[in-house]
Amino acid sequence: MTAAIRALLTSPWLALAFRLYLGGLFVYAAMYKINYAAEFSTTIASYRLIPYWAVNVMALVMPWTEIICGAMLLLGVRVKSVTVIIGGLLSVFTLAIFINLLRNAPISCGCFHTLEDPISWWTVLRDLTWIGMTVHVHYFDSVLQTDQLFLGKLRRIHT
Amino acid sequence: MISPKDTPDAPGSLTGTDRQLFHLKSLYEASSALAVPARPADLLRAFLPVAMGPLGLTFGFGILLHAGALTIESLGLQPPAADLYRASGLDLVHKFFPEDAAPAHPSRPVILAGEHLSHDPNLPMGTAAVIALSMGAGTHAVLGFGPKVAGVPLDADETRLLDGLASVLGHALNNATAMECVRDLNTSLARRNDDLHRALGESERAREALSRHTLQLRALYETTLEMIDIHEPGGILDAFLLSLMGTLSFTGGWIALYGPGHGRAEAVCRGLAPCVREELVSETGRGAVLARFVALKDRIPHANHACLVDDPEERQALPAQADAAVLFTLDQGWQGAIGLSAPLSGERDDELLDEDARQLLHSLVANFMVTLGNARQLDLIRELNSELAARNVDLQTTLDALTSAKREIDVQTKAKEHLVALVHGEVERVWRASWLDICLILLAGATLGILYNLSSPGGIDLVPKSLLAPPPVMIEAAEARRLARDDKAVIIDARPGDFFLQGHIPDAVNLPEDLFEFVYSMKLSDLDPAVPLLVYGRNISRRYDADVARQLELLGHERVLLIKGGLDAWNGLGPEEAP
Repeated sequence: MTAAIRALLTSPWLALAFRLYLGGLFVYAAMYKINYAAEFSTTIASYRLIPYWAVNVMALVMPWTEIICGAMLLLGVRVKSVTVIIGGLLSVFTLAIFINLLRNAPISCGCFHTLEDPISWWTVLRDLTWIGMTVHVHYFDSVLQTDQLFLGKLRRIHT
Repeated sequence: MISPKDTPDAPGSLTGTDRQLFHLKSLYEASSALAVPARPADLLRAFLPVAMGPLGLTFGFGILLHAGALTIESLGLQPPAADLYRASGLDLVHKFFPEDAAPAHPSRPVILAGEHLSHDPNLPMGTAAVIALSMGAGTHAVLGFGPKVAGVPLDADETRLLDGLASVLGHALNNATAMECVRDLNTSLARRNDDLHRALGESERAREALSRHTLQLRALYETTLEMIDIHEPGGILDAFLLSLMGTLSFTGGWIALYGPGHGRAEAVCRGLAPCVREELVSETGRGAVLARFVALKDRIPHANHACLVDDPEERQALPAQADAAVLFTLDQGWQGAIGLSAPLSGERDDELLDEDARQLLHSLVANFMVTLGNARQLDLIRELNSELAARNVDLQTTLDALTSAKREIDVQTKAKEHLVALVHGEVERVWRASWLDICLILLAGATLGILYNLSSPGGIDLVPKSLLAPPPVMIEAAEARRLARDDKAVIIDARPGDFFLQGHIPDAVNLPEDLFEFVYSMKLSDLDPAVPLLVYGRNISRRYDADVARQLELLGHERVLLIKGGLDAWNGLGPEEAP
């Protein structure tokens, strides 16, 4: 039973499912932010963690980074590096939400749209779940990767 | 010889002068009898009657030791007594002349006479006198005489006579001994002369042999000296032929040398027609010479040996004229022949070369073969060296090519290792988190974001306007409270509505930037532009107050002021006191 659970938890196919989910999630989240950069900039500013001179830059760079990472996850390209970036972004988001929850700031998450429900501990839990999925993908994802398709044979070359 | 009987008177009746005359005559006769050259033994034999006669003695004997030989003579003694002295005579001599005594010189005789001698066991019975004579150099004599016939003892005169006779005998023995020595010396000298003549003859023959050997050795030496500096086989053949002709006195000659294969022939000739050489190197000449080797059968010279061709018919069968010919064999299948013709002596018989000349010819040919063999070995070594040098060049070329190939292989191997390591590293980077990939992704995101923002109509400023705009007029919170109370200034909260609802300055109007136009038209459009507007609301991420104040100034408001410290500074003033 335990082995079966362990096999299930370490299954590359489960990692593939998480990878596709996270990839789609990030692509979806980035689409709105890219089109409404001003609103996303306001959302970032509402967290009151970024210096005001860096907020706009972050509002421009972060959605494109998310959409690139999401696309690479969907395609299975540089999965480990992408999961590190996504894990880092999710950790920052979670930490920011956590801090603002402690501040009792009346802000929404801004993860997908400008107008959303205010942040809550459920939001933190959701982000932590996504972080767990990212870690799973980082360690167990190995199927249906474009890298594997093109570079798998080269990996067998030994010096 | 005279005797007392021959004298007119008997001895006993002679006068003194007559006796002396008689004794002198006796001495004279004894001297005459012993003066003839004779051997000592003959003298002794002749002396006994000469001495016994004048004295009238009954017997006498003599023992002579000369040159190690003992001679016994007796007269008047019975045979047994004479035989006794043949056995013991030497002891009797040694009794008078001991063996270990120093060599005696010639001396006068010693006479022993008396009655006691007649009873001496070493002497014959009745011996009246004994005389001992020494001639020196190992020649001694002992004489013994019996009594007188008359039975009377010897008187003094007779004793002197006996002494004189003994002296005569001594001189005669000395002379005989000397003569014998002279004879021996003559004999020895003659023998030595003969030996010397023989030795002289042998010496002459040895000198002649030595001269011949010297000549041969000189010829060998000169021939060797001529050939030693020549390293070409052709030159050696020519030099040797010339030397051989000079040494053995021939006016013509040739040498032919044939190798193991056809066409390998060398020949030289001197004093002969030029066509002889062509004949020698031709196949016909080769066949004629090699046929002589076959004809020799079991006498074929083996390697580095030579043999003279003694048979005139065999010499005639050679390809060129040869009054003397030699066949020789070198190693490695090389064979050849030497022919000499037309001797200076003009003789043309079978014994043209004597034994010395044949031996010299053998030695010269042997030396020639050694030199020729060395030259051929040198040629072979040269060829091998040339071949070795060529192979060394090829080997060096191959080695250089191999070294170059090895360098190329090393370079290619390093390149391959580098490429494989690079590919491997790059491939492995795909399956691990790489800072390079992360940086590239972030860089791509930043680039795309900025480019998209620049090309998008709804793009935002990369740098906030509040950062570049002139600094707004700021007032302290206390001054702001006085203006609000005295000049009826309007307090504007520029923060988003949610933050306004959480807390704000009393009577403040919420004017967030995103709802600016709507709220302004609803609440502030009728306001006198001269009324002071006190704006607040900023945090680390956004300067709401500055943005809203700038828009208010654009709408014509003359006094827009920012409260320094915002809500926190206002709340820090405490509750407002009633006027």
